[in-house]
Amino acid sequence: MVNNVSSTAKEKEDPLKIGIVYIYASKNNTIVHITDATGAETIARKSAGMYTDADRNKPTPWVAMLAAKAAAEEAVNAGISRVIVKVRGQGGNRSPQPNNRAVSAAIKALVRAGLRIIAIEDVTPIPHDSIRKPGGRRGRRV
Amino acid sequence: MSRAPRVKKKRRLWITAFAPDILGGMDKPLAKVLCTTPSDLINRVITVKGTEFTRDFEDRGMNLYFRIIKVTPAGAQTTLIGHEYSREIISSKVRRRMSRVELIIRVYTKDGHRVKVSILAMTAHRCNYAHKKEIRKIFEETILEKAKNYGYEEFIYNLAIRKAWHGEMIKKANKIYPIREFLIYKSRAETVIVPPDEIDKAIEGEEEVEKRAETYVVRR
Repeated sequence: MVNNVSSTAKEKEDPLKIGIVYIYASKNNTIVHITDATGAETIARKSAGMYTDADRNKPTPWVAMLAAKAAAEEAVNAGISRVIVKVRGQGGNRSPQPNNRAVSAAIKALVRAGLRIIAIEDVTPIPHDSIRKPGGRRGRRV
Repeated sequence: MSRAPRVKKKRRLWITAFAPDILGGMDKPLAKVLCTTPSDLINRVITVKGTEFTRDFEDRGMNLYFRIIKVTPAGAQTTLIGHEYSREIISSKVRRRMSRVELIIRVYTKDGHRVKVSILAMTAHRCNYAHKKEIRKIFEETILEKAKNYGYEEFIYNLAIRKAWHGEMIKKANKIYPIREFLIYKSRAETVIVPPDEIDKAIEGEEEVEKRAETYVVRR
């Protein structure tokens, strides 16, 4: 397990220490990024790829859960008690849906680690118009 | 043989940000924010859920945005710069067999700041283009008139939190065509920002701020 960020001691929980959890769940990986209320200071950032050797396992709920658990533990150590969860998928002219199985596993892991969730938002970037999706009229022919 | 990586320690500060005077001032802390030095905090935007200030159930999907404009030993002072409803709330309003009347307008407030306001109204049935045009005109006139009499913070407070002019705008628009849903779904004060050369002036007693702030040490 890779653990490159750790706090010295577990901080006391404070209801004013609100965090924002950005969960980027694409079809190839899941990234869990916890910041403070401004979104500018990173507290923890973990990806599913850090917890598996097999690339095929990166988008799975189990590995997403491991990543979220590790990130949440760091946030709890920093004293974060409440979080706003912002979920996104790939967006653009690709899938407007996040990888829901990985997202739900990640959110469960956050709750089990002791974080209280204020709200869950979908922030997938969906264009009002966009360029034509690649693959042509009859789709991508492999 | 490779050497073991050196552990770097990074000290960060937790500083409490308070609501602007219009929303309680120093009696209403919004959140604690992290920074390496207090000057990092200037111009950062804090997101707070609307339900912290209103009791309206619909406001669970509303984000209020506060920009940090000053840091003092007592904490960080903020100003209200806008609000936004989440995508789910807006999409729940839009339905078939209704018309969507939308207005996005930039207005200048009494203190000379530019505020972008986005308004959405759904009519009871499908209406003509002429009706839509007329409704938009009513919204535009009302918003322009109100903006003249208020500063940007008070204007956004009345628009987003008090919803002071919703009734008036709906009443006027109902004379043209019945309105079923009405929402001012976004506002943003575009010109409220501390210029880079004034950031140093916005910090009072930097040493005192660092001394009083709660610290958090990160090892890398």
